[in-house]
Amino acid sequence: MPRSVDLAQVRRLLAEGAQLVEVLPAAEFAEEHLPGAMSLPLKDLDARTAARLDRRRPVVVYCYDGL
Amino acid sequence: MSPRAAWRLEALGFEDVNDYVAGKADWLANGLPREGRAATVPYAGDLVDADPPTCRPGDTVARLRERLGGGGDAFLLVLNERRIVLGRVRRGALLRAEPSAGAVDVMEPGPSTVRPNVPARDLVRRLTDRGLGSAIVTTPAGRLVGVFRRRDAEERLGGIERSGPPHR
Repeated sequence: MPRSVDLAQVRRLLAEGAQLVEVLPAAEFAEEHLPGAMSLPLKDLDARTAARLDRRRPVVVYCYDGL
Repeated sequence: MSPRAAWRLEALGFEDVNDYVAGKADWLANGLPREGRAATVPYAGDLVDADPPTCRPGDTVARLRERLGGGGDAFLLVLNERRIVLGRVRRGALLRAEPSAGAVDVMEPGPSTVRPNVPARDLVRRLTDRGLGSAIVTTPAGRLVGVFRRRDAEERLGGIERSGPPHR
């Protein structure tokens, strides 16, 4: 079950090697994103695109404010 | 949007999925680094004085007078041990107060603050429109990022326009 995490937890996960994924449209990613994040827009998120992620490492997804 | 993405990844077999619900808005409002085209636009947090005059609630007025000294600062910020902004003490209030009074007795509680991800040029405009010289910049939790001084920012923004964006 996905876990909701706050900023402190995100920073800890990243320090431990988690993958950071922005799920907003690609244009918004190009405009501004968190350092080291990869773009995986929700509309394109399927088994093929998710194959870019390493299943052995934690994943942190984010959008603008959760909505 | 991120909750749906998290559930979709779980359905695709990912076992350790975390949803940073507060997202980019929260990250930027905490003044943390960013990448992308907009990263070249200076934010308020890029141009603050990160070490303005501060004091603790129990410090005496006599000590605050020493700290403010004859410098150009118009106020001190009262911080707790977590650097949360509790109040502001103006130079004028210090001159009128008893030397033995505490900072908490003479401070203005809960001064207005802005987040570090306000575009610096917009903040300069807002301050100018209101006849203000500075703004206190904090995270959403109230932790001090610094003081944004309008004149300093105008100079630095002018320099950035001449030489390119700031390095974070």
